Amino acid sequence: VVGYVLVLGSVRTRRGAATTAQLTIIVMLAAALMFGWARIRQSGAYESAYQWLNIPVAFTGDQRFQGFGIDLSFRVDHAMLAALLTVLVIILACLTWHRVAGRAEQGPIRFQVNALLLALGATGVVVSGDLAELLAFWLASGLATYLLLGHRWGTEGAGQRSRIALALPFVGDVALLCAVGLLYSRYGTMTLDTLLPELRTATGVGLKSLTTASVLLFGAVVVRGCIWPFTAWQTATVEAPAAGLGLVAGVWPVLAGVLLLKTEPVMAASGPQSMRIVHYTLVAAALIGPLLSLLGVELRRTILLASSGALALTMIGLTFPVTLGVAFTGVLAVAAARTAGLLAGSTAAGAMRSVDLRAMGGGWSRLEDGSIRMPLTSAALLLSGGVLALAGLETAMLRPGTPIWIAFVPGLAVVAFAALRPYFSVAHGELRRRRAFEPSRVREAVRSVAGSALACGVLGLVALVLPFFPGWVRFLGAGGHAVQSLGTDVLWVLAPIAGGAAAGWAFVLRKDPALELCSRLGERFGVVWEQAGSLYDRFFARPGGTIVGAVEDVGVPAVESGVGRALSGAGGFAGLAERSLPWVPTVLGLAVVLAVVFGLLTQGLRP
Amino acid sequence: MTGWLTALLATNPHVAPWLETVATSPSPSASATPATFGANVIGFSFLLSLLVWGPAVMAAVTAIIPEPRPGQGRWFLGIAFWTNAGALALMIIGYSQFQAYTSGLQFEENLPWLPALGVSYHLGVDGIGMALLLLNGLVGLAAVIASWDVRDRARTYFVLLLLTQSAVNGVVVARDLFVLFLFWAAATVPVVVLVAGYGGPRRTSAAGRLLTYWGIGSAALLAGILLLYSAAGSTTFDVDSLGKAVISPRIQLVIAGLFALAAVTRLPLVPFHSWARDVLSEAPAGVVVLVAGVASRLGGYVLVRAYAGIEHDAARTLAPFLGALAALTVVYAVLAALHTNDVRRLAAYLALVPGGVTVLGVAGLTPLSLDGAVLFLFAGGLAAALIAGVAATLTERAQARTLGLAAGLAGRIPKLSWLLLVGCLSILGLPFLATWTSGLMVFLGSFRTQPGAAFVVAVGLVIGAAASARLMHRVVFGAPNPDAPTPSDATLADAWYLGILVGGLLWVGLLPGGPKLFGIPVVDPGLVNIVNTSTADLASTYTTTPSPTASPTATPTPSPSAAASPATSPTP
Repeated sequence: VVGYVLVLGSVRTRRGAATTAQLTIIVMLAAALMFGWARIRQSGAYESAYQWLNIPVAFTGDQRFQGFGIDLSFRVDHAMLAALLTVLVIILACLTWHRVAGRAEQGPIRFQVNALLLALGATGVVVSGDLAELLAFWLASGLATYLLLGHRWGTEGAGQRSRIALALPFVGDVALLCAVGLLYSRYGTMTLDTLLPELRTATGVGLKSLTTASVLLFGAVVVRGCIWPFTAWQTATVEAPAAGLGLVAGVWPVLAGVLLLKTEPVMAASGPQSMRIVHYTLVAAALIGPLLSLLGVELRRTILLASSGALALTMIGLTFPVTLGVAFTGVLAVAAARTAGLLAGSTAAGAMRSVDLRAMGGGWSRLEDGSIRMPLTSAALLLSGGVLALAGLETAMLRPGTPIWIAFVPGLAVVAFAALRPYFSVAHGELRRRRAFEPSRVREAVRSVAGSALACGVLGLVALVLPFFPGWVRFLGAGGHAVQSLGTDVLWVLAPIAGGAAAGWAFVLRKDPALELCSRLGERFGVVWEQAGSLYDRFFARPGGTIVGAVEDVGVPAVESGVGRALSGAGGFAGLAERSLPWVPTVLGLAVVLAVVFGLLTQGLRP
Repeated sequence: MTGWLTALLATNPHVAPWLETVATSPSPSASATPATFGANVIGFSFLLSLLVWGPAVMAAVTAIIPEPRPGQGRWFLGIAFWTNAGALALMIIGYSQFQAYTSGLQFEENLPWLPALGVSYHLGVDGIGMALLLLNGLVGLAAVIASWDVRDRARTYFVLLLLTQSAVNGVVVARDLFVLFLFWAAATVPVVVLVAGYGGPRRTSAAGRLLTYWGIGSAALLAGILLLYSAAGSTTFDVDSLGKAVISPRIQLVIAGLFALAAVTRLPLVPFHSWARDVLSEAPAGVVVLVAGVASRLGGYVLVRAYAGIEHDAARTLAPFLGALAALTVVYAVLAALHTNDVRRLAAYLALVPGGVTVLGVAGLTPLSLDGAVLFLFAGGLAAALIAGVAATLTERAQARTLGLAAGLAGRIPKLSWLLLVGCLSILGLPFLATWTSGLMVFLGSFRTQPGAAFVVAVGLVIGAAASARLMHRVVFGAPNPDAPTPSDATLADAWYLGILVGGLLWVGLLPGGPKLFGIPVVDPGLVNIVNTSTADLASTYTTTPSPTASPTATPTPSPSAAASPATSPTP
């Protein structure tokens, strides 16, 4: 908050704003590390609460609903600490990247302010122990996201992006609001510490309410986590500043994972129906998201959709108590890897002056730092999605024959295939000469830019490796266990390996035809999408407009003119009466009649 | 002093009731609750009369003072400004001295007026009224500052503006339904004349619609009051007496229906909204702020005071219908906003949303939802005034009002662009603004009893986000139109009047319980604390039967963190 106010209120230069914002995040990071150091040997969560709003609203009735309070409740356990550190590293990396690579962007101070607002909101969500507080910070993060994605003011593209970035994710925000409302209306509390123990014990709360709340919570997770079918708010905003997109794409999966982890007991208590919905949705997302990423050759869209599949795979683990710790670390890994991929991809796109995968290539030889970055980030994307899901599979949660089990194999393979496509396309193959572009003039990015992506990539890899150490999962305390014996489960590795091998064959050995095919499919998909849009316009938007127009422009004036005519008629009648009747006796007579009628009527109506 | 008083009483017996009222009216007394710093320094026994009649007297003064010399043409503005500033100062004093956690009326005045009819000049304010008074103070001052550029027929304009504020204050503080109706009807005339005399090209139509709908509402209110008076067999129009009367459910339904009709035409709800659409898109900024901010909120006030406060059984029966109407209003308003290209019209539709949310809270009929509804009257009034006011100012400064022309303005008029953004977000309930806190209370409260309506309103908010996004897309983020006239950014007056509205939203949003120093309220006792005792009284009728495990208790359950929290709370 201090950094936010400082940048907003007193900083006037680009460098000053960037330095203050970075310093703020570094201080937050240092504080989080010190906090972690202090709590490293304590298994319990750190908790503190400050009353923000606490009022009596009733003096009778159900005791649970006599008071209403929203607390600034902080609850930080080891899992939340890991999430906080991940968020802060991602934000710091993006700010560092933007400081150099985004120096030509408009509104530099505005960007830093919005980034700090996102940092504030994200930190609040991670440490919240109260659902209302979490919702407030969630919405604040949503506001910052909206402003970051619509950052380049004054262009039609920015307008479109801002429109999508506000309207679509707000669906998830309102779902969260409804879930919180539903839970409060049943339990009379929003503090997680008191709510969760009462989930199964409170009288008068059935599975129906819990299932509805679970589905709504999951809706918020899917929308803000950018999991298919709610990926458009990020994939349609890829023209936003790269650092902004990297921030949003990296921070929100962590927040979605945090929400899912915090409210997992609600889902667990809600019965099999909601779990089935969650699992089917995530499995479908794990397959369809990466497949959609193959339709088209836009670099950043490809990375976002491929990683959405990885995220869906890891999120499945968050729904099983036995794999919570492993899966949560997987979510952190995917988030870091996503940002790393976007930053590295944007750097490569800047150097090669194109975001079209067909026009890119040769990164391995021409970008030495890039040749380190791209494998790292792609591997992080692949492995965090695939191998961590594998680690989750080590448990007995998936029995052969269940739909999840069946879907997992192709899911792993497709994620691997889709996640490695941008790497192979950018790092290998020939970088061709184009109009106004000479491949020999491709320049390496400066170290801070390269280092930002590298830091996120390394973070992703670290998060990938950690669950294999039993001590880490115990340290997280989120539940579950580390891989104790790989056994026959190691066969799962074959799926991502097969996917990776297929990607290598397609995009290294047969790069041009494969990408051409992707491009054509993407064009076809674009046409289908446009037709779907026109159908929506024809059957929903236009009729809606017609109805509103008919009511507003025809119906309301018609009714009003009808009333007006009636009044005019009455006026005419009055005029006639005035001309033909002696008005004083008439008025008096009417008054007497009215009084009598009123008196009789009220007497008759009296109970 | 005593001798003087005795002599006065002896010579003029008509003064006696007045002086008795002054002497016996309960000035704020010390209570067990932590007192606000500075409380009880000044005690007013005629504060409410001053607030009601002060603007009216100043309007009369403005009307009769000689025409100012050239160069002194801003006298009328100055009079209106200082009147409003003074009224706001008095309101703030009254607000800071208001005893929170105390039920009943404060600053009460009671004089017989028409004893034969049982009409009395009974003024008083509880927490609900205090919130509305404060709203009127803030919005009134903002409206005057927004009228900075009014130079043509300024005398009439400011006279009418002051009369409107006087009438609005009268509605809020009247405890006699007959007096309340008089002020309610009196508010109509100056607003209609303001719209008809100072609006845009379609002002006549807008004023006609306003007169029609408000007239219907006034007629319904009068009919409801008379029917209530008659059915209760009462000899008084006093709200408290009428509230205790036992009336058959069928009559209650009719009365509640009439009150609801009066409320929904003023608030307004769909399908009684066309006046708001036209007035908010045609009237000058000052009038827009006053109408959207406070004059229309009187509908919600009557809904809380007369409908939910008196007709309990009927309110329960009609709650689903009212909830459905709220849901319809929110969804329809945002759909209509999606399909208009006029910036002011779009903002006018968005300004209907707070009314829907307020009514949802009233339909919820739970303690929390009623509390939220009253708070949302305050917050929604500010938000509606902000969005409608900023749209009016922006279109004036941009010299364009269609989305095609008033496009891409962020780079050229950043202040107004940011304010438009805040206005849109306040309608949607951005955290840390007052609409979020109160809206959350409405939703959490109404989910218990009206889950369907609450869900539809939430869906409406999603569509509202799409409509807001469309507005922001064109006006703020999008590409500028090269054929559009050159815009100019907010003037100092614009920034101030919009700043007052944003400041009010932020203050209550960040500190709904007021600022505290070591657990002791400082300066502001907190709007939530002011409101909640009155709404708790109101809601006590509607609280559900205690569950077997819960025993009725006078001690409200503290927040779950109360035990663990290091901060102390002013929980009674």
